[in-house]
Amino acid sequence: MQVEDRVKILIVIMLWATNLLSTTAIAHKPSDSYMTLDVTGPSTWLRWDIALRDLEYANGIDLDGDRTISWGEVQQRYPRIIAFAQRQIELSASGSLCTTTPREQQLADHTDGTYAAMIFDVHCTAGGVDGLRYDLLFDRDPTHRGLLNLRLPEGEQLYTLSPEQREIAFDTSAPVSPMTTFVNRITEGTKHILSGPDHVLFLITLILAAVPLRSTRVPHPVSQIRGLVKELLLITGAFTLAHSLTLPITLFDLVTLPGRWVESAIALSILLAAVNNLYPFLPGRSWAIAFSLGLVHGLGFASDLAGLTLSTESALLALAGFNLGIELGQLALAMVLVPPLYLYRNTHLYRILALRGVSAVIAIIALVWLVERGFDTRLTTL
Amino acid sequence: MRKHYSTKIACRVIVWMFACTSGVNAAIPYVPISPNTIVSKLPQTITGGGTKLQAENNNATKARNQALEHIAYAQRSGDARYFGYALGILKRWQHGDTLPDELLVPMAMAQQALHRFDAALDTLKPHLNRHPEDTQAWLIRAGIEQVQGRYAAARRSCEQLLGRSTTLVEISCAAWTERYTANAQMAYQALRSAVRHATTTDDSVLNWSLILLAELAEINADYDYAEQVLRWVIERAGDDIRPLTALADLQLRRGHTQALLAMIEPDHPSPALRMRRMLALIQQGTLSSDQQLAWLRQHFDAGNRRERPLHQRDAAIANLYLFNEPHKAFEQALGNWQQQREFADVEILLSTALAIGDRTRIQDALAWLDETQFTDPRINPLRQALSEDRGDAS
Repeated sequence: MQVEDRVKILIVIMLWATNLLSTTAIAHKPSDSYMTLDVTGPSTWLRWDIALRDLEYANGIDLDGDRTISWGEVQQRYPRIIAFAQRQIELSASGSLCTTTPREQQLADHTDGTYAAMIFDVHCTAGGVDGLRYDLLFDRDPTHRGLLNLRLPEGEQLYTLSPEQREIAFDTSAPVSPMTTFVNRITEGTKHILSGPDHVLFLITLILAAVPLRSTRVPHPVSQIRGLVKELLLITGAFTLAHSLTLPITLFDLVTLPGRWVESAIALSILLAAVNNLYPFLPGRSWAIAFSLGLVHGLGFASDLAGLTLSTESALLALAGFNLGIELGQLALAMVLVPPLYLYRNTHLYRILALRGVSAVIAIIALVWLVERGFDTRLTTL
Repeated sequence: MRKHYSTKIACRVIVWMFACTSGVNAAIPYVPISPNTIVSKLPQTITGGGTKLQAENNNATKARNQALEHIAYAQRSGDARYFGYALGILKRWQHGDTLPDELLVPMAMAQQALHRFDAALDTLKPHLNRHPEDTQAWLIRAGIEQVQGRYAAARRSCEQLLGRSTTLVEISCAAWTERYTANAQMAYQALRSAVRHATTTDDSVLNWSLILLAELAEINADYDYAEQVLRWVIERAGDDIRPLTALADLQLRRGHTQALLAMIEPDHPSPALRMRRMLALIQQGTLSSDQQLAWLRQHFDAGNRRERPLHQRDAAIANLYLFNEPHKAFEQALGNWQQQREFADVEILLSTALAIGDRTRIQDALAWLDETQFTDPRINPLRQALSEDRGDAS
C-alpha cells in the first residue's frame, strides 16, 4: 500500500468518526454577505460587506501566506477586491445597467469575523434602480447567501439572494421628496449618536458637569430646573454647532486627517472632559468646552457617514437633517439621564458616585482608548 | 417611592453606559489604525484556498481530499462556512445527479453536516449498493438515522459494522442507538469497558467514543465521571469545540455555572459557546450585557433569513431563555423537531411547549416518545411538568 493511500485512509477514518458529532456543535453561521441598497435620497448608494475569509477563498488576499490577513494586505488588494465585487453584482434601471463607483476602504465586524465594507455610489442613466443580479461565490459555495436590505422611502424590505434566486426586481420609481430625505437623515443622525460609545460617554461627562452649575471654580448644585434645561440646551447646541462645522469640512475632503489621529483626539477629548469634572482646569463654561471639543467629534462623524449624498443640491439639506438628528439624540439621552441626576444633585450619592465615580471611570476608559488608538495596541478585550 | 424609582433609572443608565463600552457596535465601518493590524485569521490546516482549488480542478482524488480537509476543519471549529466550501468543491464534479464514486461519501458528509439528511441518505444509497463493505458509509448512515430518531434503522446500519470494524467502533455505534432506551445502563457499561480495553491509536475515534461515554454516564446519573471524561477529551482534542460544548451543556444542566464561566471567554468566537455562557449568567441572574445579547441576536437573524435555517435548536434556546420570546422559540423548536430528534431537540421542544402552555401541538412528539420508548431520565421532569400543567388546566 502506498504511503499516500495510507494517509488518505487515515483522513477518512478520522473524518467518519468526527462526522458523527457534527449536528451537536455547529457554531458559526454559513457564508453570507450583507448589502444595503439605499434609494431613499436623490443619489443611490450600496454598502456591501463581504467576509475577508470569503475574499481570501475567492481571490487570495493573504499575500505573505502566513494564514493571517493584515489591514495592509487588504489595502494592497483593495483594487482587486473592488473589481471582483463589481463583477459579482449587476444593478439595473429599466433594463439598462447602472455603474458603481467605489468610495473609501473600510472594514466592519460581523458575528463571524471581519468583513470588507465597501461603499459604492450607484449611477443609472435610465431612472431609479429597479433590478439586481447577484452572483457572489455561488460557484464555490452553494450555501452562500446575499442578504439584502433595500431601503426605500416608504421603508425597508429584506431579500435573500441564493443560487436559486439570483435576481430580484423592485419598484423605486416613487419620487423622493426633499422632506423625505431630510426626515430620513434625522433618523440616521439620532441612531448614529446613540450607537457611538465615544460620543455617548462624552455627552454623559458634559451632562454630569451641567447638573451642578459650575459658574465658578467650585461646583454648586443648580437651584432651579429652568437653569439646568438652559444649560443643557447650551451644551448640546454648542456640541452640535461645533460638529456641524467640522463634519462638512471632512466630508467634502477640504481637510484630510489620518483616522488614527482623529480617533485618538476623540479619546483625548473625553479624557479631558472627564478629568475636568474631577479637577476643573479647562477655562470657560461647559458649553464652551462642549463647543471646542465638539469640533474634534465632527471629524469622527464623517468617517461613519457612509450614505450621505454629497454631489447633489440636497446634500446640505441631508447634512442639516443629520445634524438635527444628532441634536435630538443628545436631547433624548439628556432626558433619560437628567431626572435622576437632578433629584440627587444635593446628595453624597451624586457627588461621590455620579459626578466623581462615573467621571473617573469614563476617564479610565478614555485613557485606555487613547493608548490603544495612539499606539495601535490592545489593552483590554472591551 | 419616587426616589426608589429614580434610583432604578439611575442604575439602569449606569449599567447601560457600561454596556455601551463593553463591545463594538457590530457592523459599523471602521478603518484600522495600522497596516500591521491583523484583521482576520485563517485556518492553518487549509492551504491554498479557492484559487488553488481552481487550478487543481481536474483531479477527483485531490478534490475529495480537499473537501475532506474543509469538512474536518468545519467540524473541529464549528465554522459552517467550510462545509459550504466543501460542498462547492464537490458540486463541480456533479453532472446531473451523478458524482464520481469516490466523492459520494464526502458529499454525504457535507450534506449531513448542513442538516440535509434526506439528501445525504440518497447520496449514500447507490454507494452502499455498490460497496456494502464500506463501514464508513454505514456509520454515516447510522448517524443520520440516529439523529432522525429512526432507531430500528440505525441498529440495522450498525449491525453492518460487525466483523468489519474495531470492537470500539462496533460497541460505540450500538451504544449510540441505545442511549435513549431502557438499555442505556447496559450500553453504558459495555462502552465503558470497551474504552478501557481500546487499543486504537486514532484520536478521533477515541474522542467520539469518549463523548458518547460521557453522555451515557450522565444519563445513568454518573455526573462526576461524565465531567471527568469530557475534561479528558478537551485536553486531548485541543481546539475542537465539540467536547467544550458538551461539557458546557452538562455544566448548565448541573447548575455549575461558575465552572462554565471560567471555561468560556466572554468574547469566544463561537456563538454556540457564547450563548451557553449567557445562559450561565442568566442562571446566576447576572446577565447584564445588552451588547452580548445584540451580538447573538444578529447571529441568529442572519440564519433566519435563510430558507433552511441551520441553527433552529440553538435559536429556540436563545429565544426562550435569553430573548424572552417563547412563542417564536416554540415555532423554531417545532421546525427543528421535523429534522432532528436527539435529547436536546426533545428537551427544547417540551420546554417551549411548557413555557407557552401548548400541549396540543406536541401530541405527535409525545406519541413518538412513547412509541420509541424514549426513556432518557433527563426528560422526566419536563414530562412530569407537562402532565401537571394538563392537570391544572383541566
